[in-house]
Amino acid sequence: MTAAAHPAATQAVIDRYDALRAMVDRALAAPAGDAAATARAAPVLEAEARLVDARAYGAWLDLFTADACLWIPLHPDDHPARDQALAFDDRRRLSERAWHMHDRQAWAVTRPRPLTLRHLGPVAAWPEAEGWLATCALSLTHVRRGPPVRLAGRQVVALRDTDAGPRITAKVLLLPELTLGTPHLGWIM
Amino acid sequence: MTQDTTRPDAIVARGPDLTDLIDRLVRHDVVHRSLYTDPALFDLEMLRIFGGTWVYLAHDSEVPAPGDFVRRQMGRRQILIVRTEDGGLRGLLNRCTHRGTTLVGEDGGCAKRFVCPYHGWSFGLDGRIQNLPVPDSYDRLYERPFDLGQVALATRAGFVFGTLAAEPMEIDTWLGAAGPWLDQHAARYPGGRMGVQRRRLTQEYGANWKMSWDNAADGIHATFAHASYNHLGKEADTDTVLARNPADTPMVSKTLGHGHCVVDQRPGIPDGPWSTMRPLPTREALEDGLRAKGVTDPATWDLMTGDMVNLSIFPNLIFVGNQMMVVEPVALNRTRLRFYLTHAPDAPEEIDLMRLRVDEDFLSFGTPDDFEMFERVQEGLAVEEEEWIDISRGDGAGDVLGADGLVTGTVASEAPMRAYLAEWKRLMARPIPTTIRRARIEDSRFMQTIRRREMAKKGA
Repeated sequence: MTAAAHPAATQAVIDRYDALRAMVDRALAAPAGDAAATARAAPVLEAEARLVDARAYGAWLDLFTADACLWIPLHPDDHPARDQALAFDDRRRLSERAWHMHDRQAWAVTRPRPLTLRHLGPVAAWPEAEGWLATCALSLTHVRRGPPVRLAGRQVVALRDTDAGPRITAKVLLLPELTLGTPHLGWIM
Repeated sequence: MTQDTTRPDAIVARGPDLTDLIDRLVRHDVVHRSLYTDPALFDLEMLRIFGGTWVYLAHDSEVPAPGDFVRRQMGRRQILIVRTEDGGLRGLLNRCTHRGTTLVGEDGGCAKRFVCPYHGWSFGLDGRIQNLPVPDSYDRLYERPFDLGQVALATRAGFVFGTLAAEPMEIDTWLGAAGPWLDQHAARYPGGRMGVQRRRLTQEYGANWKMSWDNAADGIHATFAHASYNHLGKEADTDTVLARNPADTPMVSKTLGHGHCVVDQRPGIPDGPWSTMRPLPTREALEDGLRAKGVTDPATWDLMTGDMVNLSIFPNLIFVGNQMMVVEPVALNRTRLRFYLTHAPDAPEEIDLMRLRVDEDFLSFGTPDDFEMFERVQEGLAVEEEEWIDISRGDGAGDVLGADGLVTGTVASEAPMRAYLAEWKRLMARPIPTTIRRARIEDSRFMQTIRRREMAKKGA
């Protein structure tokens, strides 16, 4: 998106969206992963998937920086400034998702309690100016009521080093099935 | 009227007269479970409701230039809404007139013509056949009605509706009291120009399509089914509109005729819709941006959220927030919802940037609970011995019947449910004559030949 004399606050939003789109494009077109970067990033991605499956949302949230975002576009080619998404969360909304997943009146995601499994493919990562960029294929299985929901896709994750170790600054889930239609995905994070 | 379905001008009224049965199933205050569980009724609904009356198909802005098309669903039929070279609109059946192959596999695009991938037949934007391979292999090609089938289209305020009814009601008559509400919705956009996002969210639930309709004007469910969403609001120290007790608000529901209805929440929100919005991603920055541009007009700010007017146009268009929710029945117990986010092309850019994030909120935390309730109702309706569902709320207890026959009530009233079921009865009771339109029937060689033969017969 070109900058056409936007107020600074608006421009900051647009810049963030452009950076997110560019991040995905870089990850999808990058050569083979860097071994050292992959070694730093892979454990974080593995932990993030394991913790959310275990409903350990406090520890899961700790893996995200205060300025982190989660973007789940409806189509892999989408842009967050132009297209409706399944989700575009900042850290506050991520924490709301975590709260919602424990709320017994969140009928569609807690009654009965769901079981999920995120299976990650091999991680590839690259060093970036601030941290690392990582990606892997993943499959998600969600079992609660009715037929199991199975989705496959790819995640693209940006990380940076903090005093507590590597943390996630952005996570993008690319799920091709969203282009056709799915059951509700109120549980997805 | 001819019922000879081999003729391209056939007008056919399909299925039996069910007046007595339908009268028994839908009473004033109760409705029978079989409306949600009987596959034979579902099959008839696909003919008489999603075919026999006007069905929302697209918004005019989605096909701005000649050749632009979108693929939509009318019951079991795929319809291509196409902008023709002369600027008009056509609703073409996405079905090659040779073997029946669907011509287009994409949800939308721009085309000069539609070419069947199976045998190469090609059709113009207006549906006329342009070419086919080896035409000499037909003895009398001119007698064959090979132009694409079409549905009748009508537009109001940019909203495009289609039907197969042979003699459909005038669109303004059919919309009736809902028409001005539709106009008002469109007029909310600067310059009256509304756009529709290119991407739509598609989700399915495992229950009958009418669950969406039962829910659309149900003001009570929000307090209970969406309790978790409401508490999200409380945690954020923002009083969402859903968190308020609907019985304590002056919000109203109105029936609008032909099954349409509206829930007007505005009387319960004196400070305007934006005052009820929760903190959202990018909200503060975009508010700062709007203020930096000197935008103070409340109407512009309110454009960022829905207008708090939930208008429902039976049988398949429900306005929720900034979304147009389009109901597509898939099977008796499976329904697809398409969420089309609208935008305001002539408003400051911050408006549309914010709209993107506003409507992800309820879809994340609210819509799943609606689906959950629909599926649980469908499960519960499997109990054959409990045959009836009560729909009497509000009747004789707050509903006001106007001189125009329309009912106004609180948002607790089930008058909108009774009203759409009355329309359902009207459409389902008797066969509705339907016909497939084609680009040229009357002036076709086919029809000339038929007329010649008929004249010859009469002469003999």
